[in-house]
Amino acid sequence: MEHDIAQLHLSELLEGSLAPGARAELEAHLADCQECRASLDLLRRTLEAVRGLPPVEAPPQFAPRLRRRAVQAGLLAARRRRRLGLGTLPFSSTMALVVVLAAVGALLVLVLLMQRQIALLVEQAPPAVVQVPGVGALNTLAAAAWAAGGTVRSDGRLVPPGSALGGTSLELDLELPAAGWDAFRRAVAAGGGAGHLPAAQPPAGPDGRVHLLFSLRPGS
Amino acid sequence: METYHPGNVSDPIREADRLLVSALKRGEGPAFESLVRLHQHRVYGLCLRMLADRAEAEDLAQEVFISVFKNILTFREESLLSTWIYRITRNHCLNRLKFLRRRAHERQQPLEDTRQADLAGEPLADPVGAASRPQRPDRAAEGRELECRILAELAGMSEDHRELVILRDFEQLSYEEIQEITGLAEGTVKSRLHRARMELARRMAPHLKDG
Repeated sequence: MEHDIAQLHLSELLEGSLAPGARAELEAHLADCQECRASLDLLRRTLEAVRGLPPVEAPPQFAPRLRRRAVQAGLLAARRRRRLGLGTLPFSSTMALVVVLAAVGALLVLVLLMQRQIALLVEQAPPAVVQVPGVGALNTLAAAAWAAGGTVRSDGRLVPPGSALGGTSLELDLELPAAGWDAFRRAVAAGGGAGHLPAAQPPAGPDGRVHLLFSLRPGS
Repeated sequence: METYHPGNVSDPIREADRLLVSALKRGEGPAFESLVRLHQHRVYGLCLRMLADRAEAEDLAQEVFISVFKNILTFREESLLSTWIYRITRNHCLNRLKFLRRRAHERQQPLEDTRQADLAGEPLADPVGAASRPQRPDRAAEGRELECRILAELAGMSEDHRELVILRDFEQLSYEEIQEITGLAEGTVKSRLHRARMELARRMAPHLKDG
């Protein structure tokens, strides 16, 4: 087998997919060709290294963020309505049902409040979304996150570093490397937004990153 | 040599696919959750290896699932669901790379330079999130460095070469699946893959231990 042809068949030799005749010819060439033997060895070691890598896992926040985005896109909400069988009801009936359910829910909440159970519920809830007074505050937080090596999502979508958030941004999801917390805090304080941050550094998630959620205060 | 035909795929996989696709086509919310649970790591992994940027990869992987959900009614079930999802992911990756290149050009900053800097910076960046995986500490640092190096070298290769190495050697897909995903002929896949592997091998040569 000629040298140039032999070079083209090295992958197939490693994969065991060469026909017996071609394999014998290639092996005969390899016995005499130092360059092809070196190429084969390098290729084998590269493929071993690649195939020995552990599988990549999506970040722990991937599924919840995606769910939020799908709901915002109207995909899950619309489908939920069908699943409940509401799609077969006329719109007015559906709305009436929703109003009745909302009234019953409000009544239940009122009862809970009266029994002072709400305090216990608040204690058990996960850290709340921090509300900030305006888009300016969201921009301060975003700029600080980028400065600290973090990423910024607005209403579920990744925001390129350096972008300015517009008036339609209602929710900000920040993800910071744990080591970047101090830089983040300093940058937020410099922008006059220290009051929006928790007193202590929140614990990092299993991915080693700190997650923070901010939203615009209603009416701002 | 392994042979793959859609009909050869084991019946339980086909049956599970069929049930999930039917539920998705009926618009069932829990089916969406199942779809994400089953495919999130592969979709994210492909995006990450193509883009070499964790935040971009997550954003794009989410777009892929939104696209899958929106277009599920057009899926004719002639291939495995996973192959169809890979095809959508691959197309999204190529579009995103084009967009990122244009953005980098507008900012007069070469995209590959940015990635190389991200991947080779000190302390060594962790674009694949390897640091959070439980491993023996001595092996972990070595494996993480190798993983980052491979990803950095992949990022320096052309997209044509990169996608074939990823699909075949990282994702370990069959040639038939790769043909379905890329639309390339078998001979093209094999010859281009070999050239891509040789390029990666040459790039990795200084970083590999002697065998």
